[in-house]
Amino acid sequence: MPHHNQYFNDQSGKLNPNVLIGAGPVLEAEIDIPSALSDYLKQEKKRIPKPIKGWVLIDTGATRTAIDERTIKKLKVPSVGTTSVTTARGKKTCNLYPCKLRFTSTAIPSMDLTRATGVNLARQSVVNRPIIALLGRDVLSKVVFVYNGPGSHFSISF
Amino acid sequence: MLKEELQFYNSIKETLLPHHEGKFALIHGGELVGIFVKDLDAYQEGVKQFGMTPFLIQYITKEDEAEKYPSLVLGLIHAAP
Repeated sequence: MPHHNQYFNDQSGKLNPNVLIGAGPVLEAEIDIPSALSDYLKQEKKRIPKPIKGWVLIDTGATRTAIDERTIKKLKVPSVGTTSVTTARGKKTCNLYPCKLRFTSTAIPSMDLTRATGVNLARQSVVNRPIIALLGRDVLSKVVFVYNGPGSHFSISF
Repeated sequence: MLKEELQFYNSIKETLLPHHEGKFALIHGGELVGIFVKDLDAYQEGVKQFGMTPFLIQYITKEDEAEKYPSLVLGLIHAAP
């Protein structure tokens, strides 16, 4: 079972729970076009967009994994549907997008998602890198996730 | 986007529900292309047949439940859906 520990150190290199509090449980990642679309573009000898780097925030409050809509639009991936999202002003319709999430520098396998919700994550960043996705309970239903606040780390096993 | 596909799905939803609830419908224009157990299989078939042209993958269910993102709604990470 692939396993990853993510530690949060301060500038002196010591584990520091305040760093985890500030950043939240984030993983370095890339959003890429779905594998099926990549294969299609290769076959058609068309240009394949480069993946976009950022952070994925593990969000136990999110029912479904969400991706930044501006980011997925840069990759020119067409939407495959819509879903209702509860907002402070009632329900809102959001687009659903397929994508591939790749967790760089970890043993976590990349995953193809078919229907991630497109939301606005503009202006969200950790150490000058944007948050590009919220990993929701649809994915978390398949993993073991342990948040160790005092230990300033979390672990995730797929 | 996908207006025609969504309208078509709504017109056939009641027909699909008795036998296909919990599965995924692949719809292009006003045509039901197929029914799939997994959404990834529906997507792969959609790309195989239609490439970059938009198509709908619709979860077949009586009532769509709204997704919840408290971190966005409550402004905990300062963004809105």
